[in-house]
Amino acid sequence: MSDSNSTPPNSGGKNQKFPLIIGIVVVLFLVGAGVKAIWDVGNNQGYAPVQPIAFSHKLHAGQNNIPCMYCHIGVEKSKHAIVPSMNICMNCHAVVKTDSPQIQKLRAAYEKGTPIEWIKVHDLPDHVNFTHKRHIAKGIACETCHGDVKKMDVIRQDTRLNMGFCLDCHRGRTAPSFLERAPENASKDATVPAGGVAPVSCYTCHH
Amino acid sequence: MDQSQENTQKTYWRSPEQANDGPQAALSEELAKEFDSAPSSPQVKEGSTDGTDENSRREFMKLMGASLAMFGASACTRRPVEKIIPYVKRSEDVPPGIANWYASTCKECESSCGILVKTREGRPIKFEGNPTHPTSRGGLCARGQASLLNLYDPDRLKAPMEPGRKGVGTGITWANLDSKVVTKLKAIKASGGKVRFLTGEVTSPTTNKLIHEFLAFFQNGKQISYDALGAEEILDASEKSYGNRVLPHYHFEKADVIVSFGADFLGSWGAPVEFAKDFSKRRKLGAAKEDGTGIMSKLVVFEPMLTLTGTNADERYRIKSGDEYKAAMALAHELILTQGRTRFASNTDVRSALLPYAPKELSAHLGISEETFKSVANSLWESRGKGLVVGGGNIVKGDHGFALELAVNLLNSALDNEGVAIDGALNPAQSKSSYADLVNLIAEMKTGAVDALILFGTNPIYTYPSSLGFEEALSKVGMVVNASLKLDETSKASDLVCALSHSTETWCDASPYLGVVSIVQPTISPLYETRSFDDCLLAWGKGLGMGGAIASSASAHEYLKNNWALIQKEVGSSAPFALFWDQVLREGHVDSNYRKNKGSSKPRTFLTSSLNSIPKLSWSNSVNLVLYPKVSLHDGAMANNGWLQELPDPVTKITWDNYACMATAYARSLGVKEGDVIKVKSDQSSVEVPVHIQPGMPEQTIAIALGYGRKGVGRVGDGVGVCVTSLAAKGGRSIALSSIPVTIEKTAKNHPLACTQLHHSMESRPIIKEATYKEYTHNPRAGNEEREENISLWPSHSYLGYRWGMAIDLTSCTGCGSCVIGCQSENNIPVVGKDFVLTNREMHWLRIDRYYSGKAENPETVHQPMLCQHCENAPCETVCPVLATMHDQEGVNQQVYNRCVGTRYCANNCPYKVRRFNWFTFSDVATPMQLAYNPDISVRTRGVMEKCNFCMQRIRFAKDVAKDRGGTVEDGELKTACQQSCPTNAITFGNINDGSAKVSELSHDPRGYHVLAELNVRPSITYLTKIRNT
Repeated sequence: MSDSNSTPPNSGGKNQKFPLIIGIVVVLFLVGAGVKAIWDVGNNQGYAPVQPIAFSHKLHAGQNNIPCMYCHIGVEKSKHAIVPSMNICMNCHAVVKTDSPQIQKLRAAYEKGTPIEWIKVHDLPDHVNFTHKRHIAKGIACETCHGDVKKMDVIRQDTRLNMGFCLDCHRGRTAPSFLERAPENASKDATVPAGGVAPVSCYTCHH
Repeated sequence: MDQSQENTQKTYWRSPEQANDGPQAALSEELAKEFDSAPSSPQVKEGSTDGTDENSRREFMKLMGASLAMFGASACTRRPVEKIIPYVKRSEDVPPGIANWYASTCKECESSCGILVKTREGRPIKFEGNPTHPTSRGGLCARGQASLLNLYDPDRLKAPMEPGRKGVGTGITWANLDSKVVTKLKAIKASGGKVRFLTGEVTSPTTNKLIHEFLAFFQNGKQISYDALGAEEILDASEKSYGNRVLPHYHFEKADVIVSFGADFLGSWGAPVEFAKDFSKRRKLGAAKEDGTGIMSKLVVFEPMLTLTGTNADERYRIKSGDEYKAAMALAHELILTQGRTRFASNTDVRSALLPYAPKELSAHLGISEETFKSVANSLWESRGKGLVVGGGNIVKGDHGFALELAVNLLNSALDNEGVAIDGALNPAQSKSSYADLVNLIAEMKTGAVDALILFGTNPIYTYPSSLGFEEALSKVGMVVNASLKLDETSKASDLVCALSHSTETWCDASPYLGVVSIVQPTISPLYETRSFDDCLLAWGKGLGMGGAIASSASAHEYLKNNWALIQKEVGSSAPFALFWDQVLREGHVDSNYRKNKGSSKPRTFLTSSLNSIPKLSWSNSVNLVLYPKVSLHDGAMANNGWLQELPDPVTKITWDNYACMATAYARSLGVKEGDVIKVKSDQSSVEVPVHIQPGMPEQTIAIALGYGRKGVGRVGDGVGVCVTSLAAKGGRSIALSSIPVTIEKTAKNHPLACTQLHHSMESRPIIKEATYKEYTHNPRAGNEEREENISLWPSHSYLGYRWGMAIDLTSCTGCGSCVIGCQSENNIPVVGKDFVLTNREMHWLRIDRYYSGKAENPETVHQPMLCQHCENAPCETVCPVLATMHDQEGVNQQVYNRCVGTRYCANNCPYKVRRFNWFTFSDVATPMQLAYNPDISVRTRGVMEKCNFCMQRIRFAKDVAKDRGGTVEDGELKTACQQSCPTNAITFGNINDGSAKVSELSHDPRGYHVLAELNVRPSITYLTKIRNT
């Protein structure tokens, strides 16, 4: 009896605690999943939609080593890098690979004068005024934000491209090492924080 | 010192109700309304997105609940798919994201200001003044800037029409229209019938030449040009007094004393931008220079209503409409007869003409004292050869206007101002307008003798009073073709309507003065099936088999270029034409002799016999009506323009309506209050209009604006206000738009007027500081002696790089409203409509506050542009719970739309009341109007606060350019939209940290003060005291 007395209703206790633990785990999981879901609202990382023409950056930029700026001609001059107008495609494809059905599609559209409707992959919200020009002028590589495009058969959003992503670099945390860090209290451009590389004032991007 | 103390104690009031003698009850009611935040307008329901749909609060909650539920699900979904649609063949000159600017010319009035059209991705998005243009010199008026919106007007004619005089439009193809016109004209040519062109003032030398060439083909062809608001009286009087029928040119910068009899030269008469530029040169304070700058000119105004010019006067006198010439004659009497001065003192013609106008006898009738005439005559005499008398214009139209012009000519010639500040040789090129021709034409039309009438640039059925009988005469014309942008009143009564292109879609030119020719170049392909008038004439001319340049020019563009080859010879350029043409397209204009010859003309000889045409002196007891053009809508051609409809009138601050302005005392004697509808009856007809009690109105005069009550102009302008042209009579020398005897009846109706003024109560704090010129010359700090240096509990900001700031000179600001439209266009500011203005929800980031001081009968006025002050200790920043409004390191108070949750705490805490809240999605406008949006500025949606951001997109652009060259933004390189548009350069913007910058000099000026300095919010905007030359 004493044995039985010394042993509290263990099995029973286990049985009672088990669902509790399961419950806690499930709730934690749900909360975690919820937080993650909310955290990921608007996160397009990994987005790689099927484009109207199966254009491969891997083939053009990777294998054939065509420089980015051959097609994205606005990137040095304008806020927009510019998805190339079709006459740029036709510079080569008037003679190259004319037998490919994809190129024939391109050619037909070009001759008809109807533009290809590409699906936007790197899509910043409308209230963000991002400018390519200043980033290129500072020497930021395309890959920093766009990933290793040379290896992408289908173009994909490689980084998060959210505000934290931008600010981490502007504040100097993830900025390439060749960029000059602003010293404490002595920045030429007062909107650059100490140790940062670029302005972080709201109006830099939002106006 | 005593005087300046008196000045600081001056009591300002904003509207007649607030002046001591006004009904106090009405005031407290109005003030209470200011703080009424409930959506009191019945049209506005909560939860509606555009203020018109019928969602109830419950539905709103339901929808909100549903969208919250969707939120969980949305975590697994993507953002909506957006597409990138590149050009097929991109022109090298259209780089996406970079603006292209084209030099062109504003075609909205005869002054033809040079403009720069900003285009993005091939769409015109903003008009700015062209700084190199010889006449407008970078300024552009509100109407000029707003005319951009006409391009994207959804109610424009999109194809030619065949109304067949039935009042409704049926579409027709251009080929069909052309063949109909050509067939008819061929028949007329064969029978030798009459072809008539009725046009407004055609300023284009090329179009004029084309019309001339076209009409020469017919045995009996003639062009009649007439503008109801033209300068008939001045032209006629000039012919009578000097023997040449020209519109003289005025040099306001050369005058030490300017006396104006009803000429609203800063607002709606002549070339307001050019005049304001010249006038303001002599209103800038500083070191006196050889050319007169630094010495303040004096402006004396006698006028029958309070105009924009009157509000800027140093001395202002009220005069009953119709009595203006009597006052001018009385002044001449005082100068020539009483004082015996000038070379006309012994001239018998002059003496006999002036005899009945002794100020002693007239002063009681005119309500102007003898001393006034004496002192004005004295100051004119002292500055003889350096003075200017102007008169007439749009608010003195009629036979009395002609008499006034003769008196004005006499005064100017007597005082030797002729040939100095008045130039009779450098006449504007557009002085063809003739009322006599118009009357003849109508008589001719009535007999059925006119076989074809082609109308261009005019809308006679709306702008002519019915007493002229134009509509009736029109029905007897063989074929009526109207070239118009709208299916307007005249179009509906025409057989065929040519849908005209907007001036940004066509080639054209304009010549505001002899020797100055300005180009109009297209900046976008026509959006619809429209053509220019020149294109129409060319097509018909070719169809008729005309020879000459019409046959040899394939298009209007080619015709224009051929004509410019001749213009090149005229202006004496010897460069190859291709080079000359490139230069014209780049600069926008050629100027052969304007700047060079400005003011070097010989004085014309005054023919004293002309004074015989002045009518005999007589007085009437009637109440006289003035029909005046507003600064915003003018003759009403742009009535469908939301920016202009919502632009508060510079004087009354009322939007979206016309109304009968009357003096406080007169309104009291009638027993009417603001907004009460009265019936105004003239000999011709009667109309019902609401009353507006306007300080500064003469007792026996009421004034109503033209340009309202349009039909067929579009969804914005149709039915706004009342058409009042029917009240006018046909005069002997022009349409009599003023001095119309009327009787007034009360009605039981009330029509609320959407006024923006009483919303912004300043609670009689010293917002405006002012002093007289005399006080200023003794002490530049006059009126601004008190300077508060308060201690701040906040840590002060340090500005290491730039620190943006602004200075606004209240002495220069005329209150014209140009900056308001410039800001609206630059910053995508929505139009909200009358109902929302009534509930204080207008969205202008920049407003112009107008304060009265002194007596209600004839107050002094001051205009004060009010915008976000970008305070260092900004009260808005401390109350925002989500940090949506913050101070940045360059002194700018930032408003971050994506953070804003719409608590509106900031607006409540702003002492300047410059924050605007998007109660609804006002920005959601219909296609194609959103094409006018500036892509560099976020389009705000419902529920966010907005306000002036110091044109951050322009700052960023200037920094970008500076960084490209490895430097910093230099002074003068960067201009805000308001500063750019200002015709008087009253606004200066720049880097206060740069000690040599103009703005930093001005912010330390002795005249500089901060509005509400006692609050210690430390604004970045410095105002410079108002100085009056009294």
